[in-house]
Amino acid sequence: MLTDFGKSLAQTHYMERELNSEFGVRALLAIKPNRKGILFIHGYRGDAISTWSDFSKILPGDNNFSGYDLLFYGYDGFRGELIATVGIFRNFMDWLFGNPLALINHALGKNALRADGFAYDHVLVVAHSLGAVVSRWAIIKATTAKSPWGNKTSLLLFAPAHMGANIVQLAIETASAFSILKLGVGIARIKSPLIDQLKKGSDELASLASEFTSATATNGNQHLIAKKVCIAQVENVVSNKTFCKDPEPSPIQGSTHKSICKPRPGFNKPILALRECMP
Amino acid sequence: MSTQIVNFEHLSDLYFRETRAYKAANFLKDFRRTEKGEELLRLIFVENWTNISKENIQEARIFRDHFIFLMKYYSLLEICCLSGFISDPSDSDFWSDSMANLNLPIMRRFYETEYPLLLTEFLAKRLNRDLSLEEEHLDGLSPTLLTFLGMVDRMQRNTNISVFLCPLFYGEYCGYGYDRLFELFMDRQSCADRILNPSSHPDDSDRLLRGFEDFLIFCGDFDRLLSETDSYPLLQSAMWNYCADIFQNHVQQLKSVVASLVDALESGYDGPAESFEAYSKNINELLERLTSGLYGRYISDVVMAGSPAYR
Repeated sequence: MLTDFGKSLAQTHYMERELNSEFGVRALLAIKPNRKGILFIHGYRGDAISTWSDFSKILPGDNNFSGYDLLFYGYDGFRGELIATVGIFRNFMDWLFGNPLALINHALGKNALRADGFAYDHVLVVAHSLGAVVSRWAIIKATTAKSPWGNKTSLLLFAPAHMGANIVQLAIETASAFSILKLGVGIARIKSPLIDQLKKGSDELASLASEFTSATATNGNQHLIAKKVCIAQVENVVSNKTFCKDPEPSPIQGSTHKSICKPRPGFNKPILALRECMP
Repeated sequence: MSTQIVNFEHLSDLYFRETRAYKAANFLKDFRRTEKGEELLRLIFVENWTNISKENIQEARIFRDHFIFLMKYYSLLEICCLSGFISDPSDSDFWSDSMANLNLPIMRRFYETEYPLLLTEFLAKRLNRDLSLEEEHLDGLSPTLLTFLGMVDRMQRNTNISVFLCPLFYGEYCGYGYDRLFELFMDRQSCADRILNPSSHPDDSDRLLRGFEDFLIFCGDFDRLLSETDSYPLLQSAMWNYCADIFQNHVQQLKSVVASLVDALESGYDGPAESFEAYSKNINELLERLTSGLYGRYISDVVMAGSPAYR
């Protein structure tokens, strides 16, 4: 086992299944829910589940996570325009905090229904790369608009792209099984709108920083500041510079942009980071 | 409510009611009641397709696939029984129907020889009280099983993987072959564009390409799961046997196709030769582990060798 601490002998979660097809969310729902969730959001061309590798295997086996619903958000990180993607994620969060019971109970079935009144008291958002920009911006906008759920969230970020990303490198790294080809690509070959939107100093990233600064002025809205930021040792995709008031980043030895959020045997740093941030 | 009951309900939702398996079960129910439809049912055997027009081949494939889905659902139930994820079969309608389906001679021939599925055979024996396997070490087993079930669900929903595997399973009856993928790999510009800029309206070549990519990812994940499951030898062997239709029944074609595709990929590669060699070696070793039968050995060497049901 990757982690022996908190090893669970009994089943703590039900089978993984699609929770909300509109938003592409898959979930491992807790058998004894504690009204808290851990929501994973992948990066550019990632996948709801596979980006996170063993998280979906380790957490249901660890008593420390037994009451938490494990939610995996999927979205089109390639074709999606950034501001629209942020808006769609915000809509998802509105649904998650507003009225999740109907779909949760549909997924759980008649023999495992949750009682009326079930809602999330807190959701830890765990985000990788582009997912960090998408999720934090959505939470900032919700907070500024005084949505009831904004301050019920916290953030754990892996290799966030807030300070700019090299999309060509990102495309090569995320060409998954074929990344070996290196593809001889030039920037003109890639047609993603993110090329400009995630460039260092882009209008979008400047707006994000500015909205963050306004929202956290006079020490308000501390939930917008990441609880923890993990950065990769071998990083040629995103800038590792610190974003605004975020804490000093924690470098993870031996990790790359792609591997930093994938716990596996002999590499439990992502799990330890998660444990530090548990709501 | 017992977790095992909920698990059974969820399995039923995901792999039975929401899939084509349900249609096959209904067909068999009618067949057992009326004894009509045997001629149609014989179409689950590919040997009977020789006189079917090209236009009807696809329908025959879809029809046969319903029964494969059902037999694989039974395989999954066997895994869940032997690992205590669900309780042992009861005398409910579902289990009675399942036993009757599996005891039909035509279906036995199907899952024993036409499309061999050892776990389906084990479930039939469990229902007939001939063999009841049980993993000895159940403590801490559920995360592994949950991971496996999630992996299987995602794979079954991945239509690109189905497109990639179709020529393997159906050969000339598939309607297309891997030549499209070979041609694509030879056209480096087009290949790079398709990988870097995935279309929202994929054509057949896009689907094959994505299917190949997704299949390799599945192989990597599945191999890792199996390699980490040594402490549950029966479960490990059962999980591998669930996918034996891919990794055992078509082993030579699979290895040959993947090796040729990887060779073709090399034509688009202009980095250091040793990097590609390592990449190619990794894929070959991965396939070798999955097709060698190593992960399935406990069932063949211990269970079947030691069971009166197989003496």
